[in-house]
Amino acid sequence: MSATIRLNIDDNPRIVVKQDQTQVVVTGYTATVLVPSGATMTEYVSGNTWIIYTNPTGTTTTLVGSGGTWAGNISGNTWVVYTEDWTDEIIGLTISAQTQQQNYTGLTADIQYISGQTDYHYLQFTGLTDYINSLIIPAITGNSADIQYISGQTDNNNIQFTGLTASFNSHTGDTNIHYPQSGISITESQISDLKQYITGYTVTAGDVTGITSGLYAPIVHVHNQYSLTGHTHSQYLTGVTWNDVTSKPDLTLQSDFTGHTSNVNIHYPMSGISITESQISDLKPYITGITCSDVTGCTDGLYANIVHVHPQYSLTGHTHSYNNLTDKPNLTGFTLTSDFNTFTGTTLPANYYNKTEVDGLISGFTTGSTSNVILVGSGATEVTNISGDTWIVYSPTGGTSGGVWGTITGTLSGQTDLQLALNGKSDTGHTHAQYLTGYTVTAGDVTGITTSLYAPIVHTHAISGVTNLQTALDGKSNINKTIISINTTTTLNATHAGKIIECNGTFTLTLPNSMNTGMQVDIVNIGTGTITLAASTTLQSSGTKLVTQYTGASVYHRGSNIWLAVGRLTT
Amino acid sequence: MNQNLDLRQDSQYSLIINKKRTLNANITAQYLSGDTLVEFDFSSYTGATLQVRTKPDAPYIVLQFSTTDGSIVLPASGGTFNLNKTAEQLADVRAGTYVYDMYLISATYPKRQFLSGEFIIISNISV
Repeated sequence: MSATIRLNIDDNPRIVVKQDQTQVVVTGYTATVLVPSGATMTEYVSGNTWIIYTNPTGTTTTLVGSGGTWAGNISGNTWVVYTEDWTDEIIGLTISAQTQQQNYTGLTADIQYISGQTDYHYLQFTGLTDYINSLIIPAITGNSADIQYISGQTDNNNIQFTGLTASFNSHTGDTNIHYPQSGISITESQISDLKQYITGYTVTAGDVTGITSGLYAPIVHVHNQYSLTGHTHSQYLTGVTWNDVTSKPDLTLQSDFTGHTSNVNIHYPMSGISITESQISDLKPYITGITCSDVTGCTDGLYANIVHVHPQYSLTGHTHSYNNLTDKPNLTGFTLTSDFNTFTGTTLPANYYNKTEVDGLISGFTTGSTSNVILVGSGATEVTNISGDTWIVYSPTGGTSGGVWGTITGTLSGQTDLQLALNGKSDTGHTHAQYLTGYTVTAGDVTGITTSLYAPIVHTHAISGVTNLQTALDGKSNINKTIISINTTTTLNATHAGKIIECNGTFTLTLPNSMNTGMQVDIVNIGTGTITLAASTTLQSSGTKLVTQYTGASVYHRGSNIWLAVGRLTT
Repeated sequence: MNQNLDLRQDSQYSLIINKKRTLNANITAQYLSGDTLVEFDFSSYTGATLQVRTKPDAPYIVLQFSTTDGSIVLPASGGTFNLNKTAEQLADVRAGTYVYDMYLISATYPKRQFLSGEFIIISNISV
């Protein structure tokens, strides 16, 4: 299997492909022999070239022209095949420009068609005026009879030449065989069937001489009522019935129809009408629609309408139940009159007492008794002691109950609602917890809290306001270290802690004593010189020099004045 | 032991093009005649077609080149044929690895397999 090679075809590459397979030529091949069968004939030409055709034995081959190709039989199986321009392309014939007609001798067959012609009934010879001097047109093949009709014609007596163009404007020969259009002149005597009128023509009065509207009326006309003179009519038309009359007049009797003659018994005049009740078949005992005014003696003062209203006190001799009354009056504020002497209901209105019962109560009290009777109001009843045994029992207007504050006696527990209300109150002199549950204590709620003494829960401080904060921050290193440059012999100090020292030149950096444990400094040689590290007390390192540009070391104080250096240090 | 007789006419090449970039590639095809490289003769071929699909039996064509629309131009002489597409035409195809083959058309060989392999479309970075 061949390997796949990747080509970036944007680079216009070259590729190796497989060559086309060439045809194999077999030498010594024996030519194929085609054997005809049936109506198919074969003719060997040479090599493997054969002609295959249909040519049954005993029959003459017929060539049929198609399209622009025409075939003409010379003799036997010899044909002339030619195209549209047959003057030059007749196969097998030599055309001479001077004697073209001579070359057409030998054409014994009828000319079937002239190029461009589709029907040999219409032979169109154009451009041949100088060449054909004796053209003999034999009988058109297939047409054994004389030309009876021209195409489209059915009657040879009336040959219709259609399609004559504007150029056909004259002809020679006998011009009397027809009349030119301008020469046609016909008189009525030449019209054998001339009628008095033209069928289909509507004759009007104007067409008839002597007819005027003043002398003759249209067939359909109207006569004035009195215009018919010279004849009489009987007073009436015999044999004409009312039904024969069209457009019957409006028979609504008018006011001037006051009488008529003839048989007056066919109807009664209004004055003559006399009917008795026996003649009325559906006589009723009353006449509908009768009103009081129709009834003798019926007056509004004597009779009331069927539907009428009685004044409030006009009904005598009968009683009404109060409960049957609709729209019962509102008795609120109703002043009871002296005849309101009986209450039969079950519940005495709240503001009223049965006097008899009250009198009975009062009568039970003995006058002059020295015993103190205590009346206690109950419910809506109030009592007020006047003096001694004299009390007033009443029901106060409005409110539900109650006496006068200061006069109420009894036990508090007897006044349930008051007892409950008091139970919900705290005693005087009670104490509270330092805070109320659910209540948010603000500074204003606490005595002594002022903004100058106490800060809100969420508040800010300046760094300087926080004791020792700055000192603590100073002891921290920055996220982004400060870079400083040292170009000469220097002894580091506490300010170099946490910084990056870029050194350029050849000199010594000395690490001092008394620094904080953990103090760290990054030292970088950015120049081409040599940076030498030294310590005031102790330096622990694999080397002491940064000799190569862009090499560095990190030093830190381990404590006890011992410095340790790591990095690309050389000795 | 059976041996394989590869009767295929096509040569295997994986083609790589850029997505959404104008393609106008002239590829010179040669064949070995003995030890000599001879340019392939396209003169007897009247047309060519190159189709790209996601896989050999995929129902749809991802990209098509043809002499009919001019995206393949066969030379009248010589062995260099041309493949071309506009950047807009190559913008519609998704970058990735596909399969393709290309065949030549002639009266003698209606479909003469010519090339086959992977068709790799590289994503563009700049729009």
